[in-house]
Amino acid sequence: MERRHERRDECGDGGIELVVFHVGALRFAVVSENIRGIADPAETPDAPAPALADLLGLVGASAIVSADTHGSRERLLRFRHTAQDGASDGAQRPGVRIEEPVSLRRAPVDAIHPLPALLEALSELPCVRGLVTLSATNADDLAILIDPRRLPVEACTTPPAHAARRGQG
Amino acid sequence: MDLERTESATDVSDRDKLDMLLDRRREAGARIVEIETAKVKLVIFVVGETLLAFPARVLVEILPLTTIHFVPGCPPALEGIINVRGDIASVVRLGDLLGMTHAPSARRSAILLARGTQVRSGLRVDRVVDVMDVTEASIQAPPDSLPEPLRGLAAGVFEHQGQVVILLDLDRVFQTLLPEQR
Repeated sequence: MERRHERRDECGDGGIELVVFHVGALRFAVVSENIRGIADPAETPDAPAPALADLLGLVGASAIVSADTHGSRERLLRFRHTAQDGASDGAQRPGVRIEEPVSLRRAPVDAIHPLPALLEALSELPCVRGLVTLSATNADDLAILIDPRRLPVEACTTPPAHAARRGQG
Repeated sequence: MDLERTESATDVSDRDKLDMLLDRRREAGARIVEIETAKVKLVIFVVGETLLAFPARVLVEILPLTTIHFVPGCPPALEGIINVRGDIASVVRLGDLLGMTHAPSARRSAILLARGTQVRSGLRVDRVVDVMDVTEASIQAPPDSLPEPLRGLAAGVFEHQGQVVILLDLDRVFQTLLPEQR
Protein backbone atom coordinates (compact mmCIF):
# COMPACT_ATOMS: atom_id res chain seq x y z
CA MET A 1 0.00 0.00 0.00
CA GLU A 2 2.75 2.42 0.91
CA ARG A 3 4.65 1.62 -2.26
CA ARG A 4 1.59 2.43 -4.38
CA HIS A 5 1.22 5.84 -2.77
CA GLU A 6 4.90 6.62 -3.23
CA ARG A 7 4.57 5.92 -6.95
CA ARG A 8 1.53 8.16 -7.19
CA ASP A 9 3.34 11.06 -5.52
CA GLU A 10 6.33 10.70 -7.78
CA CYS A 11 4.12 10.98 -10.83
CA GLY A 12 1.96 13.76 -9.40
CA ASP A 13 2.42 17.31 -8.24
CA GLY A 14 3.45 16.51 -4.68
CA GLY A 15 -0.08 17.23 -3.58
CA ILE A 16 -2.49 15.09 -1.65
CA GLU A 17 -5.92 13.53 -2.15
CA LEU A 18 -8.56 14.72 0.26
CA VAL A 19 -12.09 13.74 1.12
CA VAL A 20 -14.01 16.99 1.62
CA PHE A 21 -17.31 17.16 3.48
CA HIS A 22 -19.50 19.46 5.54
CA VAL A 23 -20.47 19.78 9.17
CA GLY A 24 -23.05 22.51 9.45
CA ALA A 25 -21.78 25.50 7.53
CA LEU A 26 -18.15 24.45 7.99
CA ARG A 27 -16.20 22.45 5.46
CA PHE A 28 -13.64 19.87 6.50
CA ALA A 29 -11.09 17.73 4.69
CA VAL A 30 -9.42 14.44 5.62
CA VAL A 31 -6.52 12.83 3.77
CA SER A 32 -8.15 10.10 1.67
CA GLU A 33 -5.56 7.53 2.80
CA ASN A 34 -7.14 7.71 6.25
CA ILE A 35 -10.63 6.88 4.98
CA ARG A 36 -11.74 3.25 4.95
CA GLY A 37 -15.20 3.90 3.58
CA ILE A 38 -18.22 6.14 3.46
CA ALA A 39 -21.55 4.59 4.35
CA ASP A 40 -25.15 5.42 5.07
CA PRO A 41 -25.41 5.48 8.89
CA ALA A 42 -28.97 4.14 8.70
CA GLU A 43 -27.82 1.00 6.93
CA THR A 44 -24.86 0.11 9.13
CA PRO A 45 -25.22 -2.43 11.91
CA ASP A 46 -22.32 -0.91 13.85
CA ALA A 47 -22.76 0.84 17.16
CA PRO A 48 -23.99 4.42 16.76
CA ALA A 49 -21.18 6.64 15.65
CA PRO A 50 -20.67 10.07 17.19
CA ALA A 51 -21.30 13.15 15.11
CA LEU A 52 -18.10 15.01 14.21
CA ALA A 53 -19.93 18.17 15.25
CA ASP A 54 -20.22 16.81 18.80
CA LEU A 55 -16.58 15.73 18.92
CA LEU A 56 -15.49 19.21 17.85
CA GLY A 57 -17.91 20.98 20.17
CA LEU A 58 -19.86 22.67 17.38
CA VAL A 59 -23.00 23.65 19.24
CA GLY A 60 -26.20 23.45 17.23
CA ALA A 61 -24.40 22.52 14.04
CA SER A 62 -27.11 20.07 13.01
CA ALA A 63 -29.78 22.73 13.46
CA ILE A 64 -27.88 25.05 11.15
CA VAL A 65 -27.41 22.36 8.53
CA SER A 66 -30.87 22.62 7.09
CA ALA A 67 -30.67 26.41 6.80
CA ASP A 68 -27.21 26.58 5.30
CA THR A 69 -26.99 23.46 3.21
CA HIS A 70 -30.64 22.85 2.41
CA GLY A 71 -30.97 19.71 4.52
CA SER A 72 -27.77 17.74 3.93
CA ARG A 73 -27.87 14.00 4.41
CA GLU A 74 -25.68 12.39 7.04
CA ARG A 75 -22.95 9.96 6.04
CA LEU A 76 -20.78 7.70 8.11
CA LEU A 77 -17.08 8.33 7.60
CA ARG A 78 -15.04 5.25 8.53
CA PHE A 79 -11.38 5.70 9.23
CA ARG A 80 -8.59 3.35 8.28
CA HIS A 81 -6.32 4.15 11.18
CA THR A 82 -5.36 1.63 13.79
CA ALA A 83 -3.65 1.78 17.15
CA GLN A 84 -0.30 1.15 15.43
CA ASP A 85 -0.79 4.35 13.45
CA GLY A 86 -0.75 6.30 16.63
CA ALA A 87 -4.45 6.41 17.46
CA SER A 88 -5.43 5.44 20.95
CA ASP A 89 -8.91 4.32 20.08
CA GLY A 90 -8.89 3.93 16.32
CA ALA A 91 -9.61 0.22 16.29
CA GLN A 92 -12.72 0.66 18.36
CA ARG A 93 -14.35 3.72 16.82
CA PRO A 94 -16.88 2.88 14.11
CA GLY A 95 -16.42 6.24 12.46
CA VAL A 96 -17.99 9.67 12.69
CA ARG A 97 -21.15 11.12 11.23
CA ILE A 98 -20.57 13.93 8.78
CA GLU A 99 -22.77 15.63 6.20
CA GLU A 100 -23.01 15.67 2.45
CA PRO A 101 -21.96 16.82 -0.02
CA VAL A 102 -18.85 14.64 0.12
CA SER A 103 -16.24 15.00 -2.59
CA LEU A 104 -12.78 13.71 -3.44
CA ARG A 105 -10.27 16.40 -4.36
CA ARG A 106 -6.58 16.55 -5.13
CA ALA A 107 -4.96 19.53 -3.47
CA PRO A 108 -1.58 20.77 -4.74
CA VAL A 109 1.07 21.23 -2.09
CA ASP A 110 0.82 25.02 -2.11
CA ALA A 111 -2.90 24.77 -1.31
CA ILE A 112 -2.09 23.18 2.04
CA HIS A 113 -1.51 25.64 4.87
CA PRO A 114 -0.36 24.95 8.43
CA LEU A 115 -2.34 26.66 11.15
CA PRO A 116 -1.23 30.21 11.92
CA ALA A 117 1.15 30.19 14.91
CA LEU A 118 -1.31 31.81 17.28
CA LEU A 119 -4.02 29.33 16.40
CA GLU A 120 -1.69 26.37 16.68
CA ALA A 121 -0.56 27.51 20.12
CA LEU A 122 -4.08 28.05 21.42
CA SER A 123 -6.18 25.35 19.76
CA GLU A 124 -7.76 22.88 22.14
CA LEU A 125 -8.29 20.39 19.31
CA PRO A 126 -5.09 18.60 18.19
CA CYS A 127 -7.09 17.02 15.36
CA VAL A 128 -7.29 20.41 13.61
CA ARG A 129 -4.05 20.32 11.64
CA GLY A 130 -4.31 23.01 9.01
CA LEU A 131 -6.29 24.49 6.18
CA VAL A 132 -6.63 23.81 2.50
CA THR A 133 -7.63 26.28 -0.18
CA LEU A 134 -9.92 24.48 -2.58
CA SER A 135 -10.04 27.13 -5.28
CA ALA A 136 -7.28 29.15 -6.90
CA THR A 137 -9.68 31.98 -7.66
CA ASN A 138 -11.95 32.11 -4.60
CA ALA A 139 -9.97 32.99 -1.46
CA ASP A 140 -12.90 32.04 0.74
CA ASP A 141 -13.14 28.49 -0.61
CA LEU A 142 -11.40 26.88 2.37
CA ALA A 143 -11.65 23.62 4.29
CA ILE A 144 -10.29 22.71 7.70
CA LEU A 145 -7.85 19.79 7.61
CA ILE A 146 -8.69 17.17 10.21
CA ASP A 147 -6.47 14.31 11.35
CA PRO A 148 -8.86 11.49 12.36
CA ARG A 149 -6.12 9.85 14.45
CA ARG A 150 -6.23 12.85 16.78
CA LEU A 151 -9.98 13.22 17.13
CA PRO A 152 -11.29 13.50 20.69
CA VAL A 153 -12.59 10.22 22.08
CA GLU A 154 -15.68 11.81 23.57
CA ALA A 155 -17.95 14.66 22.65
CA CYS A 156 -16.64 18.04 23.61
CA THR A 157 -18.65 19.11 26.67
CA THR A 158 -17.45 22.69 26.81
CA PRO A 159 -17.88 24.07 23.33
CA PRO A 160 -16.25 27.34 22.48
CA ALA A 161 -18.58 30.23 23.21
CA HIS A 162 -17.98 31.83 19.86
CA ALA A 163 -19.08 28.69 18.00
CA ALA A 164 -22.64 29.45 18.95
CA ARG A 165 -22.11 33.20 18.50
CA ARG A 166 -20.94 32.83 14.93
CA GLY A 167 -23.27 29.99 14.05
CA GLN A 168 -20.33 27.90 12.87
CA GLY A 169 -19.95 30.17 9.88
CA MET B 1 34.33 113.92 24.19
CA ASP B 2 35.78 112.11 21.26
CA LEU B 3 36.97 109.39 23.56
CA GLU B 4 33.55 109.03 25.08
CA ARG B 5 32.01 108.83 21.62
CA THR B 6 34.57 106.26 20.62
CA GLU B 7 33.83 104.11 23.72
CA SER B 8 30.15 104.42 23.13
CA ALA B 9 30.56 103.41 19.50
CA THR B 10 32.66 100.46 20.58
CA ASP B 11 30.00 99.32 23.08
CA VAL B 12 27.35 99.47 20.40
CA SER B 13 29.59 97.63 18.02
CA ASP B 14 30.36 94.92 20.63
CA ARG B 15 26.72 94.49 21.47
CA ASP B 16 25.88 94.09 17.85
CA LYS B 17 28.53 91.45 17.46
CA LEU B 18 27.36 89.71 20.62
CA ASP B 19 23.78 89.93 19.50
CA MET B 20 24.72 88.44 16.18
CA LEU B 21 26.58 85.63 17.89
CA LEU B 22 23.71 84.97 20.24
CA ASP B 23 21.24 85.04 17.36
CA ARG B 24 23.36 82.54 15.46
CA ARG B 25 23.55 80.30 18.50
CA ARG B 26 19.81 80.54 19.06
CA GLU B 27 19.15 79.63 15.43
CA ALA B 28 21.56 76.74 15.64
CA GLY B 29 19.91 75.56 18.83
CA ALA B 30 16.51 75.81 17.23
CA ARG B 31 17.71 73.75 14.28
CA ILE B 32 19.09 71.08 16.59
CA VAL B 33 15.81 70.88 18.49
CA GLU B 34 13.94 70.50 15.23
CA ILE B 35 16.16 67.66 14.07
CA GLU B 36 16.10 65.89 17.42
CA THR B 37 12.30 65.94 17.75
CA ALA B 38 11.75 62.28 16.89
CA LYS B 39 8.45 61.33 15.38
CA VAL B 40 6.68 58.03 15.25
CA LYS B 41 4.05 57.04 12.71
CA LEU B 42 0.92 55.74 14.40
CA VAL B 43 -2.25 54.09 13.15
CA ILE B 44 -5.20 55.37 15.16
CA PHE B 45 -8.35 53.27 15.33
CA VAL B 46 -11.48 52.71 17.37
CA VAL B 47 -12.71 49.69 19.31
CA GLY B 48 -16.12 50.28 20.83
CA GLU B 49 -15.89 53.96 21.74
CA THR B 50 -12.21 54.06 22.65
CA LEU B 51 -9.50 55.59 20.51
CA LEU B 52 -6.44 53.35 20.33
CA ALA B 53 -3.22 53.27 18.33
CA PHE B 54 -0.40 51.01 17.27
CA PRO B 55 2.95 52.10 15.86
CA ALA B 56 2.71 51.70 12.08
CA ARG B 57 5.98 49.75 12.11
CA VAL B 58 4.26 46.75 13.73
CA LEU B 59 1.45 46.72 11.18
CA VAL B 60 2.00 44.90 7.91
CA GLU B 61 -1.26 45.90 6.32
CA ILE B 62 -4.68 47.40 7.00
CA LEU B 63 -7.35 45.19 5.44
CA PRO B 64 -11.04 45.81 4.97
CA LEU B 65 -13.21 43.42 6.95
CA THR B 66 -13.42 40.22 4.95
CA THR B 67 -14.84 36.76 5.55
CA ILE B 68 -13.41 35.37 8.77
CA HIS B 69 -13.51 31.59 8.80
CA PHE B 70 -14.29 30.03 12.14
CA VAL B 71 -11.93 27.23 13.20
CA PRO B 72 -13.13 24.92 16.00
CA GLY B 73 -11.08 24.57 19.16
CA CYS B 74 -10.00 28.21 19.46
CA PRO B 75 -10.54 30.49 22.47
CA PRO B 76 -13.32 33.07 22.01
CA ALA B 77 -10.90 35.94 21.42
CA LEU B 78 -9.53 34.12 18.36
CA GLU B 79 -12.24 34.76 15.83
CA GLY B 80 -10.86 32.59 13.06
CA ILE B 81 -8.69 32.88 9.98
CA ILE B 82 -8.59 34.91 6.80
CA ASN B 83 -6.99 34.25 3.46
CA VAL B 84 -4.76 37.18 2.49
CA ARG B 85 -3.76 36.59 -1.10
CA GLY B 86 -2.91 32.97 -0.38
CA ASP B 87 -1.46 33.50 3.10
CA ILE B 88 -3.54 32.28 6.01
CA ALA B 89 -3.63 34.59 9.04
CA SER B 90 -5.44 34.31 12.34
CA VAL B 91 -7.81 37.08 13.42
CA VAL B 92 -8.06 38.21 17.03
CA ARG B 93 -10.97 40.21 18.41
CA LEU B 94 -8.89 43.01 19.92
CA GLY B 95 -11.81 44.24 22.01
CA ASP B 96 -12.04 40.89 23.78
CA LEU B 97 -8.43 41.23 24.92
CA LEU B 98 -8.95 44.80 26.11
CA GLY B 99 -12.21 44.17 27.95
CA MET B 100 -14.15 46.22 25.39
CA THR B 101 -17.24 45.46 23.37
CA HIS B 102 -16.88 45.65 19.62
CA ALA B 103 -19.38 47.64 17.62
CA PRO B 104 -21.44 45.54 15.21
CA SER B 105 -19.59 44.72 11.99
CA ALA B 106 -19.87 47.57 9.53
CA ARG B 107 -18.42 48.72 6.27
CA ARG B 108 -15.75 50.65 8.19
CA SER B 109 -14.63 47.65 10.23
CA ALA B 110 -11.07 46.62 9.49
CA ILE B 111 -8.43 44.03 10.21
CA LEU B 112 -4.97 45.25 11.16
CA LEU B 113 -2.44 42.65 10.06
CA ALA B 114 0.18 42.94 12.80
CA ARG B 115 3.61 41.43 13.28
CA GLY B 116 4.93 41.19 16.82
CA THR B 117 8.28 39.85 17.95
CA GLN B 118 6.99 36.28 17.96
CA VAL B 119 3.48 36.34 16.55
CA ARG B 120 1.82 37.57 13.39
CA SER B 121 -1.95 37.91 13.37
CA GLY B 122 -4.85 40.01 12.23
CA LEU B 123 -6.53 42.23 14.81
CA ARG B 124 -10.14 43.12 14.33
CA VAL B 125 -10.98 46.79 14.95
CA ASP B 126 -14.19 48.75 14.45
CA ARG B 127 -12.79 51.65 12.44
CA VAL B 128 -9.44 53.08 11.35
CA VAL B 129 -9.37 56.81 12.09
CA ASP B 130 -6.02 58.11 10.92
CA VAL B 131 -2.43 57.32 10.08
CA MET B 132 -0.24 60.14 11.32
CA ASP B 133 3.18 61.22 12.60
CA VAL B 134 3.28 62.07 16.30
CA THR B 135 6.26 63.52 18.13
CA GLU B 136 7.55 61.10 20.72
CA ALA B 137 7.60 63.94 23.23
CA SER B 138 3.83 64.26 22.97
CA ILE B 139 3.33 60.66 24.08
CA GLN B 140 2.97 60.48 27.83
CA ALA B 141 3.13 57.55 30.21
CA PRO B 142 -0.21 55.76 30.63
CA PRO B 143 -2.08 57.17 33.63
CA ASP B 144 -2.84 55.00 36.63
CA SER B 145 -6.51 55.76 36.10
CA LEU B 146 -6.63 53.48 33.04
CA PRO B 147 -8.64 50.37 33.86
CA GLU B 148 -7.17 46.91 33.62
CA PRO B 149 -6.45 45.12 31.39
CA LEU B 150 -5.93 48.26 29.31
CA ARG B 151 -3.37 49.74 31.68
CA GLY B 152 -1.09 46.73 31.39
CA LEU B 153 -1.22 46.82 27.59
CA ALA B 154 -0.77 50.57 27.12
CA ALA B 155 2.59 51.99 26.10
CA GLY B 156 1.41 55.59 26.46
CA VAL B 157 -1.29 58.13 25.77
CA PHE B 158 -1.45 61.17 23.52
CA GLU B 159 -3.98 63.67 22.29
CA HIS B 160 -5.52 63.64 18.85
CA GLN B 161 -8.05 66.31 17.88
CA GLY B 162 -8.89 66.96 21.50
CA GLN B 163 -9.38 63.30 22.37
CA VAL B 164 -7.15 60.96 24.33
CA VAL B 165 -5.67 58.07 22.34
CA ILE B 166 -4.20 55.04 24.06
CA LEU B 167 -1.05 53.70 22.42
CA LEU B 168 -0.88 49.90 22.72
CA ASP B 169 2.13 47.60 22.97
CA LEU B 170 1.55 44.85 20.40
CA ASP B 171 3.73 42.23 22.06
CA ARG B 172 1.96 42.73 25.37
CA VAL B 173 -1.39 42.38 23.57
CA PHE B 174 -0.33 39.07 22.05
CA GLN B 175 1.08 37.91 25.38
CA THR B 176 -2.37 38.12 26.93
CA LEU B 177 -3.30 35.29 24.58
CA LEU B 178 -0.14 33.35 25.36
CA PRO B 179 0.01 33.45 29.15
CA GLU B 180 2.67 30.78 29.40
CA GLN B 181 5.13 33.11 27.66
CA ARG B 182 4.71 35.92 30.16
